[in-house]
Amino acid sequence: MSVFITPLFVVCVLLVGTYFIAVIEQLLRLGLRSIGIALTLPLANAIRLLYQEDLTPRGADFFLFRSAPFIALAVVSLVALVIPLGPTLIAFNPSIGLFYFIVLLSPFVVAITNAAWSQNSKEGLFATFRAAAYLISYEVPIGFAAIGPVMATQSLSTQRIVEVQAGLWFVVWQPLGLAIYLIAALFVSFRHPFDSALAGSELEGGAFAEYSGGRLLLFKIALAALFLLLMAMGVVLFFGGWQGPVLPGPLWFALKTFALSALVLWLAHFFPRLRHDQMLTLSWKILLPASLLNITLVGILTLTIPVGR
Amino acid sequence: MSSGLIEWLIFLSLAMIAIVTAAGMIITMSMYRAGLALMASFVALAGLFILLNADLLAAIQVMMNVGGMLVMVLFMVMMMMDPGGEMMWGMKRDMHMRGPGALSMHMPSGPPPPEEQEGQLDAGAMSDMDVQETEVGGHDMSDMEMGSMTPRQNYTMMVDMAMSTAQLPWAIVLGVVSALLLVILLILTPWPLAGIAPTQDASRVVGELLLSRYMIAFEGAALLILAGIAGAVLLAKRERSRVQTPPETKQRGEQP
Amino acid sequence: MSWFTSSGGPGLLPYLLVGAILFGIGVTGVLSQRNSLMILMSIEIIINAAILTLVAFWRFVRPDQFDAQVFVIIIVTIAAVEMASGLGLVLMVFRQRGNANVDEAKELKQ
Repeated sequence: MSVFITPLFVVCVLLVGTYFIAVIEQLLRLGLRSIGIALTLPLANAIRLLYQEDLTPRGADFFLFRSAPFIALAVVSLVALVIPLGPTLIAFNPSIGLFYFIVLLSPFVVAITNAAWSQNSKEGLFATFRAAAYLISYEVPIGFAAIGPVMATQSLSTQRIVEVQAGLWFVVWQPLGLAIYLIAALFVSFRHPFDSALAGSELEGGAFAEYSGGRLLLFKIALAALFLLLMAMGVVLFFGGWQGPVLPGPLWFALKTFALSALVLWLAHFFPRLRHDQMLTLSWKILLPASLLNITLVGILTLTIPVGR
Repeated sequence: MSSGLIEWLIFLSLAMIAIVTAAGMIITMSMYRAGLALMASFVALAGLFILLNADLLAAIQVMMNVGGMLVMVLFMVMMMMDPGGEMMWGMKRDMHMRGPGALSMHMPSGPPPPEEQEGQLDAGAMSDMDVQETEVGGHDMSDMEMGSMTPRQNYTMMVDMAMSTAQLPWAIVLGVVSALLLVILLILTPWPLAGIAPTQDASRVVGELLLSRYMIAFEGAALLILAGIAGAVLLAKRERSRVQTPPETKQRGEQP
Repeated sequence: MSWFTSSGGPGLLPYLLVGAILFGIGVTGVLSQRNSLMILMSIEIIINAAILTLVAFWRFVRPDQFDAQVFVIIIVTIAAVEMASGLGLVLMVFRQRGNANVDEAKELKQ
């Protein structure tokens, strides 16, 4: 029985978390006083999208166009299984948990590429190339940034990474790793400074240009859920996961995740949307050497400073 | 239901997916779907690895091959005339060619028909089918008169558009023969089976092995990757044409 | 025959048979496709069939020694490098000739 209950529970938690991410976005946009509007606007948008007519462009690839949102949601649900919510509250704890997480970020981009390609439009074609280029560009920085905590923990299991941080959170002595991870996380989830593949003004919506109605809602939920999961994994890797003095584990985890998401979304507002070549420059010329430097630093620190192992 | 039966069911479904999508990759007309089919085949293989208790290898397989096949699909979209298969499907429909719509076209067999005399038919629109078409969706077939092509031009067009060579029957024969040879070899050999299950944590042991016993292979692979990167970048670089310098700037000895 | 089942589930032989069939499909693809990119992808099928066979042997013949997994990692690395080099070459040929057919690339000069 529990093999069905636990994933269902995970999916419900994911939907609630996505709703709160949308609320945080609205709060940042409207200011902290309009909390009533911020709580209801995401639901209103969702209901409006559900009522919208579901169009399919002429000549769209029949199978790919319809299946892309579901593939995106399936990948996001699979990724969510490996996040530890509490001391024993984890749906799926393989010994290579973190590696599983990073590996499953690639099929998500495949779903976006399918969506972009199957629309049979010029903007979709550009979005296909851009999304695939970003996949290759961010995989190495996010992997290297996540290796830092793995080196300190000597294990790839997410639960173990959280347990080792009981004494000192990893963010204290790996700030560069956190910075690289957050930038790469914005890349992965096609968020504001890096949403060149989904650019509303530039590419008419890019990969989502021809999507409308329920399918667009599914895609938006999948993107927001992916962002939430990346922030949750950032909390697990750098901020001690569910560790905290007084409150129960899951509550600390939720607070930390939403605090980190709010911080990242707020910081992202200061930057203009990057052009395609600027994004590639950022990834290959700045993030990649920085992540190599990060590994060197973390390796030296792990060997010389005993930090609560 | 016993766990053995469930394991058999999962194995059979994953194996069927792997084999059918790999065959589908060769058969289908749309290049994008061929790349996706191969990706699906590799993900099914990763599932088989998980059944074989090799989850680290399954994760590595998914990571490398999903990214790799996506790059392959990108190259196909860049280089092929009709990557989505749209034009060929339309052609098959309009010209009532035989065979199911989604399957690729074969080269026509037999010698090409003789050239027609000049001036008999005007089919200039069909002569440059090799031109790289960068738009999605390819040529618009409605403005070409399909019935007005000479047999020779029809033959040339079919040759240009076919996905498989004329030696497809021989290729299938060789493929079947090699598979059969392997199957017979595999069934007849007495494999020494160990009845135990793997017990250790794969990533830890593999990491230790890579850095102790197989250090040379590890470093060699790293060197190979470096050589591959340098080579691929060099091959893909475009030649920049030398700009003609005007005569008054050629006084290098005098001006710094 | 204990090669076919192992504690109820599939044993060694079913995995080897799947590998053999995939190898046959890969050989058919390499020999019958005109586009060099399709040939590269068929080579990938062959390599992955070999990897499946290797992992099946590891699991059922020597599960206590993880050398086979190291071998697989190196093979996957080399396959990726080979594909990258192949793509670079195909790109060069494409720039010279305008299409990527191997049938027409039979001679060195155009």
